[in-house]
Amino acid sequence: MIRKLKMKNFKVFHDQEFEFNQGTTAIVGPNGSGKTTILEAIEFALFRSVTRKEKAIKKFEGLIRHSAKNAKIHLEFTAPVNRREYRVERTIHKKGSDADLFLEKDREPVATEPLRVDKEIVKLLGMNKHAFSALTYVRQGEIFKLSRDTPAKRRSGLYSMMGLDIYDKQRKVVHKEVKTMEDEIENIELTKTRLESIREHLPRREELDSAIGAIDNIEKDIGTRKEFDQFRVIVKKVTHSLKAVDDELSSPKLAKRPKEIEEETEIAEHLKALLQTIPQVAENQLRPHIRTEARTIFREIFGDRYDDLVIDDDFDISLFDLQGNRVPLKSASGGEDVCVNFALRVAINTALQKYSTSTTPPGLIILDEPGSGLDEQRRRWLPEAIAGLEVVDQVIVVTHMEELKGTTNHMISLTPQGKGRQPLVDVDEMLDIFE
Amino acid sequence: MAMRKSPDIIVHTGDLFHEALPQNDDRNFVIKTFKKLKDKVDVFVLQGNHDHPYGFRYNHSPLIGLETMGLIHGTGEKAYRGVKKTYDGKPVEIHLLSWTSEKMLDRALHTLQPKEDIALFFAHDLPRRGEDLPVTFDYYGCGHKHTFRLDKENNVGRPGSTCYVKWETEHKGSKKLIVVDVDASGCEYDVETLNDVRGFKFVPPINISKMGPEQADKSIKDSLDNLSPKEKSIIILQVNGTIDPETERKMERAKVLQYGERQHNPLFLHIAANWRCSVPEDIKFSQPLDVETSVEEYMDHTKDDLKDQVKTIMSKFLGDSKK
Repeated sequence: MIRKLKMKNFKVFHDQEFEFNQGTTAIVGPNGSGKTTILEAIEFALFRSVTRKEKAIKKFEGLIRHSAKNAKIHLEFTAPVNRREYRVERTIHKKGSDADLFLEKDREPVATEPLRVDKEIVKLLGMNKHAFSALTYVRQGEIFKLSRDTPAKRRSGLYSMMGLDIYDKQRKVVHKEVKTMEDEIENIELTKTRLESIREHLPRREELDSAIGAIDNIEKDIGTRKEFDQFRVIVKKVTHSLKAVDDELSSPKLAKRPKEIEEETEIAEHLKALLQTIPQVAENQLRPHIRTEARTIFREIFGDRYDDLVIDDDFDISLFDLQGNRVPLKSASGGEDVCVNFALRVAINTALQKYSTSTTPPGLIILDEPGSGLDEQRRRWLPEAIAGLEVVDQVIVVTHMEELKGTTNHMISLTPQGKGRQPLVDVDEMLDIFE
Repeated sequence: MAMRKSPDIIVHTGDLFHEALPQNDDRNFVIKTFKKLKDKVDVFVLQGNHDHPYGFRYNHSPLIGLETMGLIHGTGEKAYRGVKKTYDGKPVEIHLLSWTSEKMLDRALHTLQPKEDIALFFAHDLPRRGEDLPVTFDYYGCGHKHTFRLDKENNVGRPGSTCYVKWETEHKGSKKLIVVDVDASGCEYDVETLNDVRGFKFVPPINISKMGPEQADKSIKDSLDNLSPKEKSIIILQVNGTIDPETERKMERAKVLQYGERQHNPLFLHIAANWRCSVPEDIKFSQPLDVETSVEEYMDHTKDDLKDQVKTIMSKFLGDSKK
């Protein structure tokens, strides 16, 4: 899906171009050699955001190489929606960023301005950033985590790996809205009681009217006095205040709004409930697919020992050996255990790609340090497993593992050249000895 | 088959067994075969990755025993062994390299300097391009991968490993015997397609959709009953369809397999569980990761009365986060 990436003054890269092809590509290099930068550049080019440690960073200024004025990223990709080639060009400068989106080799952009380009790319990918990352990205250490976690933790971990945590996030947004609405109601109630207590202390309308009437009568009896008018002015003022209080109390803000808010809260609560139910239903819908995918991947590696892999409601896994016996994962060897989790983790992505979009899936999987946390024994099968990932068109593996050399179709090696210098880049086509 | 060409040496490039603890049948077959060859030809066998329990444990390989019996020449408890022998009056150097790390491989390739005119190099896995190999050796042989390849220009050959990984693809593999005639001036080649000594029997796949556990087990047994395979063949039966988890839990896979084994006495019976298992759920989300679409689909499905209001409120609250 991703064809070419050019970076200029983007972090450590002064001016560098990478080509990506079908099949597996390994980006190999020690820590700090700019492996992650490549992924960040891809993310920025597509979504104008950079996620680090699962948080989106706010200021893009830091992405510009020191002493440079602006950074440029140029990404060519095939849109899953229509299979056409697009290129997006983004420039980051101190105050923000510019963007242009072009179709194939066209000179005239199909979209300009960051916001429009963002929208257009979401349309071309057929999904937003959240869904895209759930479908394509396997984060660092997730495989290791899966095999170590307690069942409850594992479940919630898988939940977020499936991208269903978006529902939780949205539920929190709704919850917050409900909270503000509740606060508003409280405020209104407060004002209301205050106004009512004020009204309590004021004389009633009839009392004021009769007071005026009484003065009128007295005036008739004993003739006009200056004090009467003063009295009338005071009564009028009181009448005004009373009216103001009454008006306030019967104003739409105090009289109708609470009811509206109450209705809205009710609906919001309903939405909250929906947001809690739906991911469970969605999970039930996806789990069988994940199992089928995981089985395929697992058999590719351990097909000489096992035939089936079963995932139960709690995402507990058991295996069936070739003799048809059930083998709980606990009694499988360490290597097998990790391999099962690798299969499961990647299966989530492939299942989501197949069954969670209404458009063509991106056909891309990015594995970020799949071997991290695993000892040498436990990752021995990893190269074989990665080479066997034929379910998607394009696999990009970012790793410091030298073992992967020679097992992927393409390899980009990065050698750091010291602070502030661009890493040395070697590109290798890895071919079978005969091919 | 190789013996028809009356060679001086036979080399097996590794993965003779498929695991470090092979079954008795397999082991016995191998011993019998090699015993027949013992006085006629020199047999060299490399240790492949399947011969090791894990890591590079050369001393755990089942080949060690065969070596002790004097049936084969291997690399012993080490990765490398060099042999010098005389055939047809000419001294020949044979360099053997079992499954090892790439570092070791490169070191072997670049530091070994043969003294004799004829030098052969065999490695279990040789992940290098033909033209990148040093010209020091007259012929390179390797295994590990399952397909046959012969590069006459660079003198590299791979017959294709017979060690099984995946039954479905195995029978399609075209493995060949490579016969090399080496002399000081170069190599001459002759290849012959290797007939699998194992008889494969592929049963038409069956479908167990919507069956209960007993029914599913029975239909697998029935399909096994209808077979009349040769003695000791490899039977592969694929089971497809969609069933519910309850059925899957209750199916007695081990018993069905034992039943099939009793019926046909196969070398190996493989019942591939290719079925899908699904929870009966009448609602399907088209885009489960898209919150708004899914909420709408769910409300449509449950005929929710508040649908319109929820929709308004949703776009009001969540609309921004989507952009």
